Formats: sequence, C-alpha cells, structure tokens
Amino acid sequence: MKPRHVKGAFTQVLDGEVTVYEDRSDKVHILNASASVIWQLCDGDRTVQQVIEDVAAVYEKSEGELSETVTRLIADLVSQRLIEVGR
Amino acid sequence: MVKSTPDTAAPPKDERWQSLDLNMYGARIRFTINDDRFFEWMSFLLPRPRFTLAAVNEARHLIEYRIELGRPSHGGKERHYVYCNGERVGRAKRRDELQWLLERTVLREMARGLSAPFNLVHAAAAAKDGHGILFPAHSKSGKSTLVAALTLNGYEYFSDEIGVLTSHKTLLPFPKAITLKAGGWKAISTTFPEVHNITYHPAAGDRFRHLMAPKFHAPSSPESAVPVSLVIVPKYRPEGKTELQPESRAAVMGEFAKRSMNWTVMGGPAFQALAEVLKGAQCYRLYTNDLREAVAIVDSLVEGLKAPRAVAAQTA
Repeated sequence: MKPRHVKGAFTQVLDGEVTVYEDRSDKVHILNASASVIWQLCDGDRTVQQVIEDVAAVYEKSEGELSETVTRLIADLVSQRLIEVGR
Repeated sequence: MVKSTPDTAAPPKDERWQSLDLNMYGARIRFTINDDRFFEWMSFLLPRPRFTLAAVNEARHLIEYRIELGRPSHGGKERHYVYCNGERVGRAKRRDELQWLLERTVLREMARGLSAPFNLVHAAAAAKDGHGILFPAHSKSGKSTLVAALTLNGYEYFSDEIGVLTSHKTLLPFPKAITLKAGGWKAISTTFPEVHNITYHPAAGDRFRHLMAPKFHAPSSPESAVPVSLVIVPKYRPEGKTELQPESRAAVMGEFAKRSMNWTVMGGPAFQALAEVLKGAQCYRLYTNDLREAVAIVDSLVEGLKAPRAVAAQTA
C-alpha cells in the first residue's frame, strides 16, 4: 500500500512548517514536525513500510521503535482526508 | 392591509426609483433604491460614489441590488428589503437597522461577485511609504478602530473589512467608509479628537458611525498597488498592555484560512497565492489597549522596513 496526498491538497512550507490546504473541506492544516516528515514522504511512490524505514533513518532510530507511531500518524492523516492509500 | 412582498418581487412602478452603477475590479454593481436620499443611505459603501479602478473596470459580472424602503402601512409597521439579482437577501424592521443589514449582506454579496482573480480576506488594510499592511481578524477585534487610528496618523486607508489581494501579491482598496461601533468611536474620539474635523455619519442611533477616511488609496492598476509588507493580527485587549508579538507565517496562514471570504470559489490557487504574500511579509500579533501606543508600534515596524533599503544603498 502506497500512501499519497489526496487530490486537491495544496502544500506550502512556511518557515519550515508544513501547511496543507484541502479544497473539499476548505480547511488549512498546520502539521507538526513529525507529521510534516511523514507528509513529505507519502508521495505515492513509497509503501508504508518504506515510509517507516525512511522516518527511522531521519530520526536515527530502529524501525521497530517507530513503526507504531508512523502507522498511527498516517492513519491520522487519512482520517483527516489529507492522505489516501493506493495500491 | 398587509402588503405581500414575495422573495423575487419586481420593483413597484409607482415608486420613485433611483439607480447608481459602480464599477469595481471587473464587476459592475448597480444599486437601485426607492428613496431620494440614496447617497446618504449608501455613503458607508461609497466614500467616493464614482470610484473606479480604470485598468480593471471592464465589467465581467453584473450584480444588481435593489433596496426597497417600506412605508408605514395601515398597520403602522415598516418593512425594508434588500434584493440581490432578484433574490431577497435580507430585511429590516427599522431604517436604522437597514444600514447594518446592508453592510453585512451587501458587502458579503459584493465580495462573492468580485471574487476571482482577487483573494478576499476579512481584514482591515492600510499602507504607508509604499508598504501595505493587512490586519486579518474577526469582528470585534478592534481592526476598524486600529485602521481608523492609523488613517488619522498619515496612513492611506484601504479597507476596514475586506482585504483585496491581487495575483501580483499587492493590496487593493475596498472602497467603503470605516464602520466604528460605539466603543471604537469612543476610543478614537478620546485619543484623537481631530476625528471630529472629518466627515462621519452616525447610524443606527449611536451604535455605529461611518467615518470617511482622510487619505483614500486609489491605484491606477493592480500592478501599481502596494505590496504587502506586514501582516498583523490585531486583538483588542481591554485589560492588559498594548503589546506586539512575532507570529509564525504558518499561524497567520491559519488566520487567513478562517478569514478567507472566497476560498470556496478560488480553492487551492488562493491558498498558494496567500502563502506567497506571507513569504514576502513580516507577521505579528498586536494586542491593543492604548491606540496611541498601537499606532507607535506600527510606525516603528514601518520604519524598520526602510532600514534594509538604506543599508543596501550605503553598501552600493
């Protein structure tokens, strides 16, 4: 499964903070640091496992330590309709 | 006898109707009203009744407002109605309520009609020395009072309600008078007594005053409008000191999201354009209590904007 930004999501990085506008809900989301990293990795090319591996590399931690957190954050972004999971 | 007023009623032929066309930012807005005191009634909307922006006044949209002022009928009650393109958009029981109603409904509908390609934000706006300043804030935040204080201290007035941003990241005026509530008027007239020397119209008893700004900005084209240099989120704080705090651009983007008047129409491109505006601006929150201090703070920010240019000139 490859998570990706939903169609209609517009991203801007302002002073390092990722802001995302999603046009169906007409809402702006300001992502925290960890959500920002995951947002940028959910490009539709990486699988969830690859996202976990890349986040682990960024934070220099093991995949096992971060797996649950990353999966939960992806689920949060999916529930906010910012990310969809394609195959 | 009760007069029936259907939602899409045509103007009665036995009334004396007057019309005024206003060309603004690509929209032609026609006001029609059955009252001889048309300009007086509309003064808060039209500080310059024939205001046009020459370069962009080719009308793409026509918005027609009909304001039907009722007369006391046998029942002794008046009813006043506002129609937009034939659809009723509001009504008032008293004439002095009508101005407040018009400000809310007409400005909102005008903003819809004026929309693309302009980014409209619920904000006050002013400029000094070629630097545009945007004050995005909700109602009762003191933005009209603050912008009134600034215009009384040499700033060019753009708007107290709608910030109009172009795709060139510049700021355009939205021509209406400054609407001050009783508290704002009290603060302004106490701090800056010279306000009594300029034109204002009381409305709804003493609840509102419509103030004609002394310096009204009128650019010849969107390209010649001023760039946005400062975005300041104002907040009236009745208890506490007047204070400026730096704010992140992302947080101000959140404010824009809450204050945008046409993102539902413009969508993502409006978000992207506002982000570009923010990237070129300094962002702050200003808690206001003392108006004179607030003006001094904004003055110092504008002065600070000049400094890099001076350094660059010396270096060159």
